[in-house]
Amino acid sequence: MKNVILVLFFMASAAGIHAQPAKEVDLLLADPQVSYARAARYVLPAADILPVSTSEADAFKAALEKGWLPEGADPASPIRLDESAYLVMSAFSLRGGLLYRLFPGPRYAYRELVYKQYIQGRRDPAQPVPGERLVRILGRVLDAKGGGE
Amino acid sequence: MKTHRGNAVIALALLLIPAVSAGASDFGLALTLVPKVSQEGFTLTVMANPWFSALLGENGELYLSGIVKLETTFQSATLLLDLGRSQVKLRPSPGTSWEFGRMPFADESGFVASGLMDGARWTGSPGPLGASAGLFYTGLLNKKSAEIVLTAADGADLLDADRFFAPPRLLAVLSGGLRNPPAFLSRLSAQAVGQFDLRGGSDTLHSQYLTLTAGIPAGAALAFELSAAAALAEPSGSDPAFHAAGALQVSWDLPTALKDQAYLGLRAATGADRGFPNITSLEQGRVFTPGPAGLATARLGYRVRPSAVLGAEAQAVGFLRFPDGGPADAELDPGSDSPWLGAELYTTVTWTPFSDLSVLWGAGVFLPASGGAFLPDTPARWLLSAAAVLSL
Repeated sequence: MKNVILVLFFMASAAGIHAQPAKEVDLLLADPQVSYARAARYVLPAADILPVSTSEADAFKAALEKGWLPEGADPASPIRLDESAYLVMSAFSLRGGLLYRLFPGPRYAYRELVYKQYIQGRRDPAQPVPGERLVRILGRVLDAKGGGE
Repeated sequence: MKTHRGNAVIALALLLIPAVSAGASDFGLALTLVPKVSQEGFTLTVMANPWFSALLGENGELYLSGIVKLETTFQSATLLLDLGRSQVKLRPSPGTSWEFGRMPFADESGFVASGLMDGARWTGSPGPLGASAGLFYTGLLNKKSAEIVLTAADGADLLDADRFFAPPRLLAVLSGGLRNPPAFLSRLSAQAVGQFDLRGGSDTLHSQYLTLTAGIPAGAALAFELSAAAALAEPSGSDPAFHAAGALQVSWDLPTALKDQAYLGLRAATGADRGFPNITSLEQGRVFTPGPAGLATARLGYRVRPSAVLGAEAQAVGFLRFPDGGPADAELDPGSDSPWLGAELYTTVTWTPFSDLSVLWGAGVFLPASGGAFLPDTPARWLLSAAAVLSL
């Protein structure tokens, strides 16, 4: 619960700067399939890579340039669970397993987040990511970071 | 017969493939390397476990895995090909699930059966209970993995090089426990197991079991767990025989920063009338590996986890036998009626430098001369082993 509160606090701050009270957060939580651009919009500021006021377009461009999203990805297309795992691993500079170090990418990033229990519940690497799930994943990462990781 | 069974497994797999959501799947391979050296010599086990998982519809999951195991002494080698955990799991509603296929099973007392079983299992929450019911068949398991020896006919099958499958037995399991036990308990559950020998003929053994388990917390750091198991064995041509077994486990989370725990375990199972009828082989030690029947053990251990990547455990086990039954061993003194079989010391260190790589070292010694049951010149038995597991 603590981790979800952390993320909602972060998102509310972002929404406040935009002067869009809670609407943006509601949109994310209600989103059944978060897009590449929206995922980048929340992950990169949460990792202190971009300011919380950044737009989806700017965040998507930054993530694409860093190679954290698939080449040629359509910003409006739904991001897969393994791709979002790679985005999170990269943005937060999380330490991966041996195979992730040798072959960094969505496959082993997904495995790592499952191992760390940041991804929980019924899952598959090809699944789209609902907004609520992204919030929970980010919350667990922030919680672990705050816990001294 | 073997071909028909194999075909049935393949047909089931083929039926499931169209149900797998397109693209919603994952696969991998676990590689395990286990060198082991003991007073009996050196063995190297190389194992590969390929696996595949997929989501089925809105509430289902499919998991398939295989076992390819090569064991060699460098003078001889054996290859084992088998199906690992392979099951469909359906969750029609929160708290309710159905499982079909080959799945892990372990009875609550640890005296009855443990291992992979083929069958179906329902898990649910009727009223105040957490409950499950399962029906399992052992005749499609590899006999070396299942290690089911309840009768002389089972023993003969295990030694028969032409036979692949385990003895055909049916297990019916019903378990129930309070979801909210009284405040002085952390757990209260009961389990009934019926085992039906499907072999037919003149050497069969049916058995039924009833187990009660209670967890009793004593403060924040101390916990007790009590298990009692009663069994009724019905061998063909003999009167039914009653057996009993019991266990007490005490664990103490020490008030240190090392995440360490000390524990004491006491276990005993009757040995008269062919002994407590454990269905699968349930080894009670690491170097000295008797089954539970006719045996009492006292285990004192300490485990510590000094860091996220390092863990260690040390334990000492004392083995006693009952006057009737007890383990069979070529080096037991036939003229001795001493109950004290000896003591075992065993330590393990686990190192997990990465999430996908773990290494385990184990070392142990069994001292039969410390008891009076073995022949006086019986040497100590020892074991050194390592295991490395890489998940691809």
